[in-house]
Amino acid sequence: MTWRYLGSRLVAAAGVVIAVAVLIFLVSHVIGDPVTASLPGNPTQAQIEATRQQLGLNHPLSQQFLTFMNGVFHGSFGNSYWQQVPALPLVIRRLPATIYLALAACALIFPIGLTLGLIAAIRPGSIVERLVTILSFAGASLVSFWLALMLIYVFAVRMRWLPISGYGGVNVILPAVTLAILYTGNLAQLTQSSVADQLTRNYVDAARARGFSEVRVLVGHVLRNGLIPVVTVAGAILANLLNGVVIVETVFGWPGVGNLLIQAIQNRDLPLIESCAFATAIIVTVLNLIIDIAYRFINPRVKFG
Amino acid sequence: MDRRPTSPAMTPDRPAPPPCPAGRPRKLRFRRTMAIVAVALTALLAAACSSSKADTSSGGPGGGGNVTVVSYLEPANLDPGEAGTSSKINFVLRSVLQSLVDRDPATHQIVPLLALSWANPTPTTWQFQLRHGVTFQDGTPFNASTAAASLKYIWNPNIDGSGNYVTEAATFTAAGPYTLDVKLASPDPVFLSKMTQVPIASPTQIAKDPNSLADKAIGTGPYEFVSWTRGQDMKFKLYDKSWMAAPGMFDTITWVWQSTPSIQEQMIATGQADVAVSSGIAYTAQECEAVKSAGGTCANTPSTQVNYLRLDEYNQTLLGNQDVRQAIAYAVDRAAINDAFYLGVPVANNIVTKGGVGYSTTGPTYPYDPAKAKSLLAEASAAGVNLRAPITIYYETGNGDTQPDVAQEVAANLQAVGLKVKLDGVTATDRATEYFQNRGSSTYKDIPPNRAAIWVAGTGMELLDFSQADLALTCTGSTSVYCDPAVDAAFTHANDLAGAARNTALVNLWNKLYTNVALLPLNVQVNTTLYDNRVQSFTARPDGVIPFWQIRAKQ
Repeated sequence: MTWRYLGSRLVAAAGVVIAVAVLIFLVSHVIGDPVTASLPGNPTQAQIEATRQQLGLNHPLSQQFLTFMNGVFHGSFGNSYWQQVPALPLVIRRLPATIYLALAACALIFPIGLTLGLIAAIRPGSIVERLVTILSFAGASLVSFWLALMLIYVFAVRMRWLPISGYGGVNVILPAVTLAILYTGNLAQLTQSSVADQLTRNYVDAARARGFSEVRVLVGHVLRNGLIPVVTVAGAILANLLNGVVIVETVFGWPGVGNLLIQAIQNRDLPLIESCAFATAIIVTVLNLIIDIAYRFINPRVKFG
Repeated sequence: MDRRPTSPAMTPDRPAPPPCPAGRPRKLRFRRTMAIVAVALTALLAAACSSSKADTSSGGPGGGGNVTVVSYLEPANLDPGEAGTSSKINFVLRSVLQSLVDRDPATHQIVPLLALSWANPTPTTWQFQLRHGVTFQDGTPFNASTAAASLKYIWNPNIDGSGNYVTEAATFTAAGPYTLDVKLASPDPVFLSKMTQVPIASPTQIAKDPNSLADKAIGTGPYEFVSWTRGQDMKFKLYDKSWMAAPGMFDTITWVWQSTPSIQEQMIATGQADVAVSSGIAYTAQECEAVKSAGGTCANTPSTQVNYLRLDEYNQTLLGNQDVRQAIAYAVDRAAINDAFYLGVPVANNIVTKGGVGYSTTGPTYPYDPAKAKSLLAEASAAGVNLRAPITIYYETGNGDTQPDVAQEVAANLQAVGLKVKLDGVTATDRATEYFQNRGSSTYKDIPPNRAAIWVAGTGMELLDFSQADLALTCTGSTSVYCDPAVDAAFTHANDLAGAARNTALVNLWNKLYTNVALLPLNVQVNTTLYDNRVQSFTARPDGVIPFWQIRAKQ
């Protein structure tokens, strides 16, 4: 049954990737003219025609679509107009930086968010619960650009504890903390409400009546059920972080996919924008697949199929 | 009686030192000796200290340590063939790749660099005498044959990026070991100016490893390329065999990229970067002050870019009228606009910057005079021009903060003299479609008669020659909305001339065009450079290049 489920999820994931590829094709080839959108300056008609021919845009749309999909299956979106090298490898080269930042942020978000949420759930009305509320509001209302600038001002400019901009080493701290402030509250609040909801269930009273310790009740029973919705949100957070956190990467000069996407847009580099979009789609799809599978391990009662 | 002991040196062959004055006390001689010893020791100590800071006493190049430059723009590609896309690689790589000639940033005169002298015996031939003793950073000797091989690759009209400068074919041949001959397909009066922009890369790299050109630069400059991690940094180190390497220069240069000006400023103020480069006025007065209060420098340098208003002219019922155009020139308070948005720089009355060919001091100036503007509009109205036809002022959104503000100010000025004006902000993509008149199959003839568009615009004039503005002023110019066959003919005629005659012809042409307000220049764009107190004061260049071969580290 599990394998059948896994197979169906893989097929669905492949369908999503293909659908995204089709969407990318439609947006770039049907809604707008990729040649006029991408050629810089003042191309002559001859240059436009030459580029159209070079990109194969003089062929029927169906043929263009087949060529495009063939490129997708071979991982090729053509050369970046801006950098004059294959576009997808440029994105792949930036992925480690984005993954690095995402993992660093997760290293703060998940332990802090889950711990705060759990404590807030088992100690309603405590300071921790209020802190979770504040963090949650902060995450929802703070603008990442402003928050990043404020953190830079306090910790890099005034205190001189941390570097302002750059990649690797201690450079990761400020962007990771910025992201952690934005996402931790959300995770903590969801953990709190989910665990608090589980704590009211009869099976918790039954476990306690059987003489189980509070830790065993919490870890062995409550968390197992309470974490299911949390996993969904955690997956969404991780997907957001891996998509390339455009503003944060740009402010901190972090050489990730988000930063590259901004440059691609500024340079009207269609193949590079397509590659960023496609890579992002793959990441989100794979993550969703992992989350779906993780459900099964967190709670085997979740039915498949 | 002299009681001094006889020394071996006091031989009959060598003259004896003059005797001490009679009666001078021995104590005084001791003090004098001690003083000499103290001075010598002090001098030795000072020399030792200074050599520990920089290896200048030994005469070895470098000793300045690392300098970190934070720039708003990362090059897309290091291929020297892309240099024609203006300064996109030049401003970073100019310390690595050099050109035959350079332009003096103060006088704007073309000065020797890799070529020591040049001659232009016929309109289509040039001969350069090259510098001796120069080597590329890969060891390839620089001479006429290697220079020719390099230029053959770079001077290719088919390379997209070269399109800005390389329009005609040319052949480069070695006429002697250090004599380079150039044969142009047709006369090009700005050829020498173009050669200030065209970098020369290693012909060995071009021949043996052309695929590496996009990622690695090998030239003759005082710094050699070390690494480029895209999106992160680019590193150079001093090429100590360079003919330009000198004591006190920085040993390494690290370029990092940061597009947010306020963060660039903070990097300078906190010492995380030493030099910040921006395009235009990127920093606020407070940011400049923050750098100054940390001991650094905030310097504004006129660039080669001119900001101007482009007024539809061809086929226009309202803006085609000279009285209306002159009225607009008098109505726009350019000095106030410059005060408010461009650091108070002077009003420009040319489209080429001072020192450039065709720069006029004899044309109209259009000082702010709303009364005169109203009077001219009244004359136009009396001649039957409908002044109630709407004018649209276009500006690009997301292109810094200045354009929308300038557009609003211009609109207010024009409304104040009774013209009907509306504003329209467009994205960069829409601008690419709307702004270029001779794009694709569309030409200036497609401009609707009642469009009445005024664009807030700017143009780079890095060749410092008014003929570069033909793109905006001739019938087939890519950004031109002005079409007068007589003007086209005048440009052609001027380009057939040389020297002072050409300058005069271009000055006269601009005076004529400016009388009809073909364009309304606002100012010469100012670029701001920030640097900290580790960097000795230097004069920033109009082309935005940081002259690391002239800059020294503060000791």
